[in-house]
Amino acid sequence: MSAQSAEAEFDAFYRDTSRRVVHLVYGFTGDLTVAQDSAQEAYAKAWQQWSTVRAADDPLSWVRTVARRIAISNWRKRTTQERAYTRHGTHDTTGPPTEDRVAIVAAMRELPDPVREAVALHYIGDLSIEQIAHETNTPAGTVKARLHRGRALLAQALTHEETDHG
Amino acid sequence: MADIDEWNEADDALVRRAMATLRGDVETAPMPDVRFVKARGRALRRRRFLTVGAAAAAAVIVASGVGYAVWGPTADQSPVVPATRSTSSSSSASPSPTTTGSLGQAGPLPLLTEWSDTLGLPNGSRLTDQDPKSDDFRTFDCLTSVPNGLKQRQQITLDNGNFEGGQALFELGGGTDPSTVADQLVTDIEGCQQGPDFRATKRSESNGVTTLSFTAGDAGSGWWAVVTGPEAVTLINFTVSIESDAEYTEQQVAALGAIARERLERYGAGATATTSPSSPSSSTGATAAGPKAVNEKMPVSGPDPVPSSNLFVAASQWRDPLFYSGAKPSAASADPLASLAIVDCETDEQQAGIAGRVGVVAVQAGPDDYLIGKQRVRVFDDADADQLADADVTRVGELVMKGCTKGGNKVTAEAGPKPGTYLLTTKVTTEASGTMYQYVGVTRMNTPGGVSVVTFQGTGDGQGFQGTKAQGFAQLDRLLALARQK
Repeated sequence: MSAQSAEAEFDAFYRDTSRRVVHLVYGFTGDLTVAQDSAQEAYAKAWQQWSTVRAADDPLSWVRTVARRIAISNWRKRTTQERAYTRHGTHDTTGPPTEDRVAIVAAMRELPDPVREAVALHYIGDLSIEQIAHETNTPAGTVKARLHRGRALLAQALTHEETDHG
Repeated sequence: MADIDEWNEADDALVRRAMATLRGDVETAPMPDVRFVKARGRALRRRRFLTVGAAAAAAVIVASGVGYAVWGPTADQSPVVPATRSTSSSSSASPSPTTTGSLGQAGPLPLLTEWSDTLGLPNGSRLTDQDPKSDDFRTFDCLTSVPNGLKQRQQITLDNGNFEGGQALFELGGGTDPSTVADQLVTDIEGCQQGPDFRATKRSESNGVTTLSFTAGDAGSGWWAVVTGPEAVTLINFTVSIESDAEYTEQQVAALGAIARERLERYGAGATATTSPSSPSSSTGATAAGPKAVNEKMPVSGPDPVPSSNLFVAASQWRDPLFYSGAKPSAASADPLASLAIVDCETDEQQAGIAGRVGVVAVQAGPDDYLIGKQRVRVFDDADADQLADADVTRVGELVMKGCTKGGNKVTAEAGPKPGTYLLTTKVTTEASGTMYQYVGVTRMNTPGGVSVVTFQGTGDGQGFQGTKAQGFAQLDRLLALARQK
């Protein structure tokens, strides 16, 4: 493959999949800015070693996994990052939060990390239980239990929210 | 604690709707341009090389100091380690004498050196052709429709990832007014809706060059230039990330536009001007009339007796903006153990079986003695020297076109536009990844029984020769024209 066709292939891959990855990490972290930055860094790393990543069984799975790992790390740095953004005069790219979004993010954040990961991969990443099991290196039965639990907890929290707001 | 056994399909639908709500946020959020993402990847790669590969890079410098650097056939163990480069920046805001001189080098679009000189870009910038078959070739930000006649697109990037740009050439048919096309481009850019923070403003319009600046919020800011030629239009744009401290002025962009205009007039469709025959760097002039080859005392590597250095292209005449940013070249020290197999698919065993006096000169440049190319001269002195020389030219061509596997990596070949010119492409998959290019030229010489082979290298990530494929072959023509005079 020539350098130019590798570029075109990566460009198409990024164009077709990047919003899905941002969406997934957003669901996982509840922070759109962290999600955008983590996804961008994951794609940059993918381009850095594109000849290897493109040959993988599922390049998107590779990027998803890397983005989630970066997101966890970035989340811890968030406070520092916010200070930097303020210093440089840039701003969060997310719009004003809607009540729905606040409720969903709050409900997601109540979930334990492994449960939230399973919910995000299933409902946002459209991955099956088997695929989640493979991607997170977790037994399928455990994934199924986490999904079941997460779904119930989220539904309960969101139903309460709807009831509270009439 | 929730009772998880109470889950039902209604809950499933509720959670699915909630997740879809988050998708709405993502859809309205700006995504960084893919060029920034790739630039960030390249910066990561470069940082990795500079830290992990520091020892290897040092070894490359030592190797090049004795005349045979990383590209040599015997040094294929670390083929894509970049040599260290100066990070100093040229900051001239208008065309420098070098830039003005570079206009003699044929091509309808501004060269890398012209971008660098007018915008003051640091070393490490790369200009690459976009594949006309790629999906992105006809995809343009902001344009409501892409004008007919899209002939060429090039992308320019910097290693630091803070600058991304490109240029496109539209060659229009005789029935299309280039001014109308240019006006439509300007209108499209001014009315562009790339996002809530995107805003473009026309800044100047003079002598067929319209400049526009734009801001795009977190996606950065930048410039456009729309350039009208006799029967062609050039579209230039570049984006600077918000992390960059660099500022580019209207005068700089207008200067780049003026060069683009000059190039359209000289080399674009419907061009009426002619190339200056006296220009030393004009690829067309070099092959037609050509500069006179000069003699230079240089060390020649090879088995005694080696051919005189007067039979080689003088190191000083290798000088070109596309070789190490135009740094002054010099010949490397002679190495009695140096390989004579300077073409990627040649071996020392093959070379050992060929008669004649033979020697190699390696040309280097820059403070770290970066290898920019090599020349091998072989002179047959038998009674049938000319036939042997012709056979040698044929042998090199056939060997190159066969391709080969070198160090576990596949080498493929293509013939250039002129006889005796070739491009070898090596896809590196062992120990590292990347693409290496070797331009190879072979020609008979003025000396009876003499054959010259000229090679120089480039890589997919911008090391070595800094031009496009067309510029690479033009460069070969220039060097072979000098070699023929010897």
